Amino acid sequence: MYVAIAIALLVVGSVLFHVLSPWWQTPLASNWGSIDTALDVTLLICAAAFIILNLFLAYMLMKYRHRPGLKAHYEPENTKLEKRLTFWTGIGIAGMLAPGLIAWNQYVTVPKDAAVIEATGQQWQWAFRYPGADGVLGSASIGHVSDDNPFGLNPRDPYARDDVLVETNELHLPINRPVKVVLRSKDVLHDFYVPQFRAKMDLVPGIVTYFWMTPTVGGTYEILCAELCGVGHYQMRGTVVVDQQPAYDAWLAEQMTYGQILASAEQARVQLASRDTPSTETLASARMAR
Amino acid sequence: MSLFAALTDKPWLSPGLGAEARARPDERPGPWDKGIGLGLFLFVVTMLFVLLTAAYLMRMGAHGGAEAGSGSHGASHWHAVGEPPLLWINTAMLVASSIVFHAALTATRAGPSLASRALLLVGGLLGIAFLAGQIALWRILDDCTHALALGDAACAVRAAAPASAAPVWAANPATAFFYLISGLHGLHILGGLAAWALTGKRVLAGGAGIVRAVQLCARYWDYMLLVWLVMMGLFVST
Amino acid sequence: MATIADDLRPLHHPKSWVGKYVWSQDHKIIAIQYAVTAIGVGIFALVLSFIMRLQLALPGQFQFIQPDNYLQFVTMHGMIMVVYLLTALLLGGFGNYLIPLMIGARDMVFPFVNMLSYWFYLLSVIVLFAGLFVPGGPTGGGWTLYPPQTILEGTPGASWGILMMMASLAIFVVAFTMGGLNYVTTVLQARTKGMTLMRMPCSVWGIFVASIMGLLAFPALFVAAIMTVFDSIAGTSFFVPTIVSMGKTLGHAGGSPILFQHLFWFFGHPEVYIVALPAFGIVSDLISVHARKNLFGYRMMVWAIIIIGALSFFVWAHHMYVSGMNPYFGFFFATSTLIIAIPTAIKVYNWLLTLWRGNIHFHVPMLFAIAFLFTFIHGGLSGLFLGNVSVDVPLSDTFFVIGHFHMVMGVSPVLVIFGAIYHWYPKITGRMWDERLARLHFWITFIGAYAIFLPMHYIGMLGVPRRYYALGETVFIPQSVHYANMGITIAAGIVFAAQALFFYNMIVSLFRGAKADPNPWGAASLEWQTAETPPGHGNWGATLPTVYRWAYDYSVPGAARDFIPQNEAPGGTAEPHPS
Repeated sequence: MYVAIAIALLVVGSVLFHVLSPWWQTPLASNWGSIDTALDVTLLICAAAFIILNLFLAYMLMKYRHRPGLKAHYEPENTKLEKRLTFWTGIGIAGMLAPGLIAWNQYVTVPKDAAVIEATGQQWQWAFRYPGADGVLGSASIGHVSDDNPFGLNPRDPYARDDVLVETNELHLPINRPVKVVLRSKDVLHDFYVPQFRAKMDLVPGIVTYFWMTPTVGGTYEILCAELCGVGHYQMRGTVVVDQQPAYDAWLAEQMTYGQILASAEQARVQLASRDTPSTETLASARMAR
Repeated sequence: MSLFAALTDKPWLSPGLGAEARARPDERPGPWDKGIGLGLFLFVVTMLFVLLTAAYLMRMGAHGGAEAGSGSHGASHWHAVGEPPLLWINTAMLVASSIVFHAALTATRAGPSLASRALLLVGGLLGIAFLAGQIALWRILDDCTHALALGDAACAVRAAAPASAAPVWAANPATAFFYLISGLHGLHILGGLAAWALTGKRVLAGGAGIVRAVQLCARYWDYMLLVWLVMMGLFVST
Repeated sequence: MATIADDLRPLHHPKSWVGKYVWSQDHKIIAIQYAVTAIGVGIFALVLSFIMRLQLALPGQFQFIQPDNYLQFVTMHGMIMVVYLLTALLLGGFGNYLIPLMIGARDMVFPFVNMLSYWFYLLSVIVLFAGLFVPGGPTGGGWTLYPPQTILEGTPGASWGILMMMASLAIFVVAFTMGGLNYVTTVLQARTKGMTLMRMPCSVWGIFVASIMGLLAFPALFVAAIMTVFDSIAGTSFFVPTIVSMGKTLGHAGGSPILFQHLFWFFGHPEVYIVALPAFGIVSDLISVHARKNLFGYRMMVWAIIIIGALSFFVWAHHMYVSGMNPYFGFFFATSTLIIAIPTAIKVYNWLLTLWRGNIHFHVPMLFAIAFLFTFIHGGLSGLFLGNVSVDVPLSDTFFVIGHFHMVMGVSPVLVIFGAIYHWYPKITGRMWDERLARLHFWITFIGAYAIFLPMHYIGMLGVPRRYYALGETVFIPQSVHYANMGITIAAGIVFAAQALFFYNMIVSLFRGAKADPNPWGAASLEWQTAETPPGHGNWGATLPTVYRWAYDYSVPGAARDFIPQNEAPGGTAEPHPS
């Protein structure tokens, strides 16, 4: 009998906890309102089921608790009732699945005009690449990675030369423009996660993954790694700054391109080393031949 | 009673004993037949090799990688195992082993005789020969001098990845799968040989249930042959 | 015991104490060996979880919890709880004890293989624990053991620890296969006269279907484990592509990390139901017995178990919505996942409708069953968020996931296990436990567990990621989350301590408990009708019982008592059982 009261109190307590607790989703800062809508619909249906089923449980525990002389009713099954319950459950399930699938359809359909930006993960830091003036990310492969070429860009790919490289854990995005975030990992699984954007995707070594979104609220947000990636997992942080277009353009103009980095590395090498040092081109082609 | 009828029965409506139950004895004497147990085990084995096949095909499809344009590595590393002659010899050995087990079964059915025992012995020895052949095959696949004769699959990979500290067979995922799958298959043959030894002991001791024991042994052998043929088909055809 | 049975079936009768209790082939002894071992490792994993809670409440305050230790604790806790405790206890423990008794068999069909199953299980546990002492310590790759992380430096135990873990898992799979073959074969082959499939109690159905699922699913874990070992030792590239780890390019090329995830979850998702289905079955029986009412919609309950078992092989990739697999898979797996919620919901309705117009006795096992209903409804519903593909995107790998799976496959099955132990303790030991201690244990465990895991859902909604050693300075995480973490840790400490009540009660009652009635709950199923309590070797004395009815004849109109045992003939003449 106490357990009936306890169940009822737990239902009331859970609802109060939901209403009063300070913890809920962070304010949305991207276009993924549809994900939040799907979540709200799911919550509504699930909360209704939770409250109804458990209050019904508490009611029965109270009403049919054992008392002297009480005898249980004998009823092996009631097919009609079971069919009806199955039907209404199906309706509820379909009701939450529909908005979920609609949002997912948007999630996997990248708009044609989305700008492409690449995020690369390694234990335990982030790096970013912008396509540069030609609007195309140059080809890259982990096989090309070296001290001079941390992104593993293909030295022979002309598209790669004007790619803008950012190794400072700080990503800048222009506000209100759809962006396709292309993801690569050098070592283990990582996951690009900004709670305010709602979007999230794993970085998988060996393949290129992606997601897309449109930042809608300016400001600075944290990037967290949301896939266990080793002892430094919890410290694998980055920053994303959502800028107005002019500020974004100004920032982007300050960053180095791959071509500039190659040139300055070459210069440094010429200054430091003897004349026997092979040029970058021969180094690169030697690497290719491997 | 069909399974469907059994599962749609309303058990509360009909207390008492059905005709089927009334006909059976209160308790069946003797040890339990192992047929159902063996069938279930082969079910598990099937699952194991189906999953390995799925992994093989997925890994084969995954090579090359969608790595931002220049997926030069990976693709070049997958070289089919090819058809080393020993592969066919080993397979013939296993086929022969299975046939001999059936001959042993027929002979045992006719009554215990020297022939039935000898056939059982030969069947198992052929199984051992198969295993020995598989081990020889592994050594060949891990050796560049031999591999050159096999269409230099393994060694092409070795040359392509000099940085790799891995042995020759490990650098080529197709060979690695061959080692993995034939190794697990070999373990099952080894287990079968243990069962064969126990069966042999029983046959020598004589008594009831010998025919069934040999029958189950032959069934297991047939199944391992089937698994091997499917797996070999996978290696040869891809 | 009569000797007729010995003539009929050559049961292995041990002579010495060692033969009887150590190298035992009796399913009841093996069940207890399984249960004691599983609970033993479970306590270890419980301690680990409390250490993790200490770190979360007071980050960095404890010298012995460094980031690498924390990940090792996470991994060991998860793996032990899912595999070495829940699977082993529900199938190896309850499966072993209940199947032969509930279907009227003298033992498992292959008692020797059954014994081997336990010893292989023990070996897997020993190897698991040996992994604690190898150089580098145990693996810290998370219980999912995703490569390439698990075999690269940067993760604790990347060289030896992972090998020990994989070896232990492979041995466990062998042990489970031997046990599972026995459970399934026994149900198919050794049912007593009159025990049709649809007269079996739901406990047997749950364990039976879960065993079949285990036989199908564990090979995937086995394959994944062996392939990882190959990648780690031999340098193959099944799962590992070209990688630059800590500045060095490794020799692997072309492997697919996602292939491992598919294999792992092809095992991992059915595994959830391998744990859940026996619990579903057992709780059905507890509710029916203690509500003195037949299980409502028995046929639907059995079908639901079968349908859930079958469907669970088609939902695995819902753990991988944001894994980088082909995103279009999301449509299929979200739909299949939400469809599986329908048979699960039907089970919940039928449990509730069993109580409807019942005669509910609040015995301790029933309290646990009721608590299960509450936590399972909660955990099941929160699973719909994660199954509903796009809703999973913000929630995956957050505390919401932790809250969900602990509620649904941690707290819920454990409540059933407690209920089941209290329920069958009188039959297993012949003695009763202490009522007051049991009730106290119930209240603290139930309320406490809910207090631990409810807030986690909300912290996860906020976006706090899981498997973080420390949250550090993160702008979107307010100070209140740290207070919540302290609160959760305090609740966890109380629940943790309260388990001492349970163990004290179980152990002391073994010696000082009141002598138990052979059928203290008035249950109709066969295991309560044995001649001896606890049942002797061979279970049934001279003759096997004959079954005349289903296991749920409670409060039948016109019957003399409010239950009719399964072995009572329709004429009302209770079959006198010769002892």
